[in-house]
Amino acid sequence: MRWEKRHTLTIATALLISVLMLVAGCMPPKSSHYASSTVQYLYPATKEHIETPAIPVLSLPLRVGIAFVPETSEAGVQNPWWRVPAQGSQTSRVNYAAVHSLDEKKKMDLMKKISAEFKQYPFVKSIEIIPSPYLSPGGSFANLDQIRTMYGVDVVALLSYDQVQHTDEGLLSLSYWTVVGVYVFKGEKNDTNTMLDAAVFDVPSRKMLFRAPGLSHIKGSATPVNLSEQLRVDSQRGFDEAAVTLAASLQEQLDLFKEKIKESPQEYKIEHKVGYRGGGSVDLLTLALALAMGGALLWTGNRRNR
Amino acid sequence: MDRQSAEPVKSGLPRQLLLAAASCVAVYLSPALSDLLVYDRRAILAGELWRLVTGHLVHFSPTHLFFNLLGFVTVGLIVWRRGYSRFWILCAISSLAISVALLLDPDVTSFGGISGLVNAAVVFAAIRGIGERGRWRWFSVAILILTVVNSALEAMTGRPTFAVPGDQSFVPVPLSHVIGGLTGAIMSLEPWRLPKRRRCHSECGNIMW
Repeated sequence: MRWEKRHTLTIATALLISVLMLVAGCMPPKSSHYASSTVQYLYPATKEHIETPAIPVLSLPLRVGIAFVPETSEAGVQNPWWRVPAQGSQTSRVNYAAVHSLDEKKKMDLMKKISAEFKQYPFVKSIEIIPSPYLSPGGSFANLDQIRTMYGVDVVALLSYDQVQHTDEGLLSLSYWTVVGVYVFKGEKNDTNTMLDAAVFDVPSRKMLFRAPGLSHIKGSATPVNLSEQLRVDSQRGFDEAAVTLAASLQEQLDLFKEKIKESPQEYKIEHKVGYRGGGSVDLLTLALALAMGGALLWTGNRRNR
Repeated sequence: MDRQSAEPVKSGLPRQLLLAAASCVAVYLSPALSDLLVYDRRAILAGELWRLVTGHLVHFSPTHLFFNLLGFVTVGLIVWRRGYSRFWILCAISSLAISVALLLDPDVTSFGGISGLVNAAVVFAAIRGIGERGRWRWFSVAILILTVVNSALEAMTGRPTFAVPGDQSFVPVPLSHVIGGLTGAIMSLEPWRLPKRRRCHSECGNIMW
């Protein structure tokens, strides 16, 4: 009888632990998705008219504008079933999105990094960084025309992004039942996939000249207590790394575009603005070498055969 | 290449060099003169052939003028002091060679700047320096290697490797540096003396270069 009681207690304890493990291990993954879309900005669903691209006339050197397209409204967090907000309430989604989406300062930093890529090309005269408030959601080419007039740019590089973050519970999440584990063990496993995309458009002809993507994949882990902070860090790191790959990709695409212009002169018309001129400017290395030679001449005592 | 005999190098300042530098400044200060002398593709093709040479005296900004003249005067003084002959022939031929090469590129409608000649003179001085003895020889070897690597990088990328920052008054044309360097190399080898050397080699029985 005593043995039966003890046996029942053991089975009950084992069952309880199994249930707890099941609950801890089977927590559904949380995911969030933030995106902005060039297509939605240029060709909003409400507008029936589709712009027909013409042959672009590129007047060198180019004045380039660079801007982030506005975020899409669908972006947000897919909560697990027990955290789904009540119907009609968007509170949870909006707050979470506000924490993790790209802020204006970060956008400016990224645009500065990308504009450096354009600046090094001789056919680019100037770069204008256009703040996000100047682009209205679904503004299409009408909005781009306004920007072109305001900033005096010839072509616009539209930047869009897509970031997905997944959080899963790892084996360490079992330690959360000890309460202390919630603060100590990093049982939350995060995956952050980011894509930055730059599409360069000739505004008057409505034609996309070329595009370049930048991708990154970040893996991380966090305790439940600092999960939100870690996701934010991963998100920023994801954008930084994607910007680096985007820069490399841009360089490649720009070189390909130059070749494409040469190979298909019927598709792109190139003109030179008045005052477009080439110059022979002494390279800093050549100048340093010339000065070093002068210094060496003085050092060798101004005489031959030393 | 001949080993140079021991003799003091020339002292003082070469008048021609100062004249060339002063011409660059004068042309920069006179927009009318700049318009008359600048490399203008359309005008050259219409018969204004002097622009092939004079275009190199034209500069587009104070920074452009300052850095180019600093390089030109420094390397000109080196060539003068080392007593390397035919510097002015080098300048004339490299000016022409660079301009003719630019004519092959229809994108360059207008051009100015003496930097191609600076590159030509650096390569010219370095190769002539290799023919000398002592430290100067090894120093010249190092200068030549660095210049060739730099020019090769410019030719491959199509843009200056270490451009002077901040000057947006023109588009850099690295082709002028590459052609200048090639002209400097050819001129330093004195191709017009080649038959004489070969004759001497067969007659004297010793290697002269």
